[in-house]
Amino acid sequence: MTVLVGVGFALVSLALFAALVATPEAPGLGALARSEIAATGVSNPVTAVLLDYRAYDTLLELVVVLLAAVAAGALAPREPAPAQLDGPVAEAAAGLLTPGIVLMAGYLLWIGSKAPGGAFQAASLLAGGLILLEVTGKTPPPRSEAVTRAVAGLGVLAFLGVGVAVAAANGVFLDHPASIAGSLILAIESAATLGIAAGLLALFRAGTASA
Amino acid sequence: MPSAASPDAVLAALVVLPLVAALGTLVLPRLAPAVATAASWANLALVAFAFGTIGGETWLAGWSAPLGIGLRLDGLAWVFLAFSAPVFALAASAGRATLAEDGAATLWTTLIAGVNAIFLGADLFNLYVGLEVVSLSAAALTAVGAGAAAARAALRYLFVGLGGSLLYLMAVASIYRATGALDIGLVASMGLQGPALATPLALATAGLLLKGGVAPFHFWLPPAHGNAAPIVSAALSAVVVKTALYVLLRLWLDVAPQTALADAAPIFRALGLLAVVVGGVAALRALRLKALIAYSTVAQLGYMALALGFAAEAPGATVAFVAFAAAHALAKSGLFVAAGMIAKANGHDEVPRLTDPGTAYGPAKAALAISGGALAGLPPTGGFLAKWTLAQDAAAAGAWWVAPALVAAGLLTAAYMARLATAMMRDPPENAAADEGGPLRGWSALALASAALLLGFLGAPLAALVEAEP
Amino acid sequence: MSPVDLLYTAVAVALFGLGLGALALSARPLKKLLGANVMGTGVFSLLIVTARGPDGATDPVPHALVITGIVVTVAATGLGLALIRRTRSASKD
Repeated sequence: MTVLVGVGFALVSLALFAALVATPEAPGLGALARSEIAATGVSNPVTAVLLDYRAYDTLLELVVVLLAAVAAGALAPREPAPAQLDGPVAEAAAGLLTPGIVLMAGYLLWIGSKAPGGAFQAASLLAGGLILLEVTGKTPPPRSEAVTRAVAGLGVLAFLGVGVAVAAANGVFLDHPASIAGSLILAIESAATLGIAAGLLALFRAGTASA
Repeated sequence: MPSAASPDAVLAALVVLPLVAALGTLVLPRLAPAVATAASWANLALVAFAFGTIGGETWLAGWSAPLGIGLRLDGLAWVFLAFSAPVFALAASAGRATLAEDGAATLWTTLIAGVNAIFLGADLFNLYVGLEVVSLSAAALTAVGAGAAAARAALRYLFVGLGGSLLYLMAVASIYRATGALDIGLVASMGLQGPALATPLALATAGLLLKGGVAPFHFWLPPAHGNAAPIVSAALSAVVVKTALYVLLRLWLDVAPQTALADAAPIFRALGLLAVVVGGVAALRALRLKALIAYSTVAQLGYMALALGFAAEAPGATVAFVAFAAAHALAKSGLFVAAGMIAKANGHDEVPRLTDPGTAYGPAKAALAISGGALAGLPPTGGFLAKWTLAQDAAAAGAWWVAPALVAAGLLTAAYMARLATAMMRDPPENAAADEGGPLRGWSALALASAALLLGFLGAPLAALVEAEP
Repeated sequence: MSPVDLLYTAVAVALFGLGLGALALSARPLKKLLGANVMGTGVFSLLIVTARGPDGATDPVPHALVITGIVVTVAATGLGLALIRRTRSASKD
């Protein structure tokens, strides 16, 4: 039975590949995204898509991170995770790397408006740093579960706050006025960086295997 | 009609409001159940108010297609919102204990936000993210405050949800590759044909049928709906599975040309029949109350697939699809809430051993009876309206076998609902438990069931809403 | 399609199929979860290939979609791991 299903999936994949090869690619939205970018306040096209054109997608995605962090925390068995990396090398490494990680994350966040970078990249790096601290036994803030969840919601809060504020002023949710769009985007991204990092930390804590 | 607040505000509010509530549950953890319940009722009020905004659309962030994402509220979307909102509101009121579990209130509000986002969504990728919000919230809620069986069922549900979402996402990627567009209206105007149309449609349909629990992809549904807390089961059966089928409907009606739906019709009809038979027989043989109700959901989803199979030939079949969705949502949620109370009063939920829980459970028993009638399709309930509409349209399309099949399915439903009813009439043993849930639960169940009954009289307005040209 | 694009598309579809197979057919939950991740990688790879335009001009929209997809998949994986832990501990009681 398993073999039959496996063969079925293989055939489906072949059919998909054939269909993709047979279909000509459309030109896509690259030209349009670049031509309208002036109104977004940023010059990195991917950031413009994520934080302006398709900002609503990003809002919902931050909701996913938040809800997963809350759910994982609620569902995981409540056993404290023992420090997993022991020894002077690990502790020294954590101490040396953490400031650099935080600085680099800040840089990635800042540069995201002009060059590859942005909230998600910064948050991933920051989360890596937080997890490194967690794993060597130096539990980083946020420490309590309730606070971690609240911080995880910062990205959603920023989006909702900005979105409603501009809607009250202009009429449409998340319709940034071009003059301050860049600053608004940076504000949202800063909150989102903290939020996603906290969310990833919460997911890590919930997923850590115990004895 | 209320003075129309701008669609920009109302449509966005339908998603923003539950999200604000979600944040509220994090900031006020001890008040979380109250926040979630208040948000559910506020959502109901907002949906009612949104009736005046039907036909409106908004382009979020101020960018229209193809760069931006739109929300659209047509009659069809409003009807789906309109039957989902009372389920959330009444179930929340009936399930304070469940909402007090760690994380449950937050997940309840994100679930509402995701559901609203899907019904309003007009962008194919945005629908993927919405489906994930709903899937993850629902899978997590299945396990909240419940035991090992629910945890296993929730894990299986999560895998099914992921698989279905990724199948759908691959379809969206293929469509973007071929058209450079993600907005439903824009993609539809591009006139995809041949393998460029068939492949994404097939992938997306497989994924959405999986998420919707349509046979033969229903294996995950009875354990998940049968083991979750009663109000979660209510939300899962009534609303969550409908979101996947809603997206399926949009794909086949709005994106694909009518010829495609006509070509695929035999498949949907066959799947529908399969579901009705498999679900009905399993419900008849079910030993546990919630499993019985969950299998009943499998059968009732078959009706929706069957209706979709006739939607190309008869526009009335779309009305039947929606009517089945709405009637089932209201009846099934009322049934789950009532069943939860009755099981608690009995101390167990084994159908052969159930007894009359006592006079204090009057509303719950009435809810059971009315829901059973609606599910079996007895007049004048919404279930009857849906079956009657489908039977008429199918007959007009020449499929003479549909009407007798619906009648037979109705008898099957009546049979397993009758098993429940006879159990209710057995005298309880000496030490019967007193009513522990408070009267609110019983009345919530009865309200939902009555709404399913009321739906039967709303055939004309329903048809007008669903069939109106956008 | 250029040979390079053909190769990348084939790899993307292969990952998708293999991941789907692992998700559907594996017995162990952790393997299923990894299968879902591989499946996601396949879809994202296809989107990246789509982003490549003529003369090196890239389309930023699929890149943004992939970022969103990756974050959603990570969140779902995190939830899945917590649920796996719960099923293991609940069955011990």
